[in-house]
Parts: sequence; structure tokens; C-alpha cells
Amino acid sequence: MADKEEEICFKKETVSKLLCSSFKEDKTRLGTEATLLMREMLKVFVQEAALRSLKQAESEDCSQIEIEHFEKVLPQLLLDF
Amino acid sequence: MQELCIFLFLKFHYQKAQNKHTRLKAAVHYTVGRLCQKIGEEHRREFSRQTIAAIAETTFRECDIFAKDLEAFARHAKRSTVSAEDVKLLARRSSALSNHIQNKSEELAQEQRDSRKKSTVKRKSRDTEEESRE
Repeated sequence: MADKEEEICFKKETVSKLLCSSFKEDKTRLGTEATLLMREMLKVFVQEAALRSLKQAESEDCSQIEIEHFEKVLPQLLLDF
Repeated sequence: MQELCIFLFLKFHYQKAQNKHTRLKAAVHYTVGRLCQKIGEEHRREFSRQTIAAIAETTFRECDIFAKDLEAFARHAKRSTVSAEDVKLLARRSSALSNHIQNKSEELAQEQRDSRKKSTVKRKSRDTEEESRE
């Protein structure tokens, strides 16, 4: 049995419910592959937000990542996504 | 009396919708927290609770924007089901992101092909087993 590290990700149902609740029309559905890809996309979004905030904190020589660090990286993050 | 009934009816449904909203937010917050904790550990730094909450809130709001974009893309293609192609279009702004999603899509397709092959092999070996027993 391979010693595989458990990968942290969003649950499929969470991604599905999140997106479907924002659809404007009742008939709009989310495909299976689309759900899995969106799950990946959200994971990347969170990782980017976290890593960029961390890099910002490091550049300011801070030991803890504070909300100010996240605020500084937020505009570019939203433009990139 | 009727007005009171209508009021209670609306209040009940509003609270039900709010609860679902809260549960989804909590689910997002939980996973965001875990991801941040892992990244923090890897870089020997800690995310403040406020920062995790802010990232979670931002992610939650972005989902609303993503969903509306996806729906618009699907409708533009005259479909009612959001497909992988719609997601790829959503990822178009950054080439790194676009490539990542494309790779993931190919990985998923490969996994599907592999699992289909496995079930065919299983079926075939089961059939030959039954044949040899007869």
C-alpha cells in the first residue's frame, strides 16, 4: 500500500451546491467533469491567495501572515482570475 | 391573520435559505483553513485567523462570479449543462492557470479511460474463470 499523503480539497458536493445556488436559471446544471475542474480551480485560487499573502509577509519580514498582507495581494489575485 | 401566516411562511423560508448559505460558507471556511494550515507549515509561518476568514469569504464570493460566468458561457453555446469547456474558458485570463486546468482535464480523461479498461479486464478475467470452471 503506497504511503500517499491525503490531498486536501473541496468536497464535490460543496463545489456543486456552491455553484448551483448562484445560477440564475433553474434549468442550468453542472456537468460532472466541470464540477471536478471547478474543484481544482477553487483549490488553486485558495493556494494562490495563501501563497501570495505568505510571500508578502515574508517580504515585510513578518512572522505571521496578517490580513494586511492578504489585502495587498488581493487586487492582482482577482485580476489574474 | 392571513398576513401573519404569510409573514411566518416567508420568515421560515428565508431562515432555511440562510441556514444553507451558512453551512456552505462553513464548509468553504473549513477547507480553506486546512489548505492555509498546510501551506503555513510548509513555509514555517502561520496564517492569522482573520486572514483565513478573509480568504474564505473572498473564495465564497468569487464562486458567485464564477457560477454566473459559467452559466453565461453555457447559455452562449446553447447548452443548459455547464461543461469542461466552459471551465476552461473561465480560466483564460492567466496562461499558467489555463494550462493547469487543461492538464487537469486531460488527467481526468485519462483516469476515466483507465477505470474503464480496468472494469473490462475484470469482466474478462471473471468470464474466463467461469468458463474454466464449467
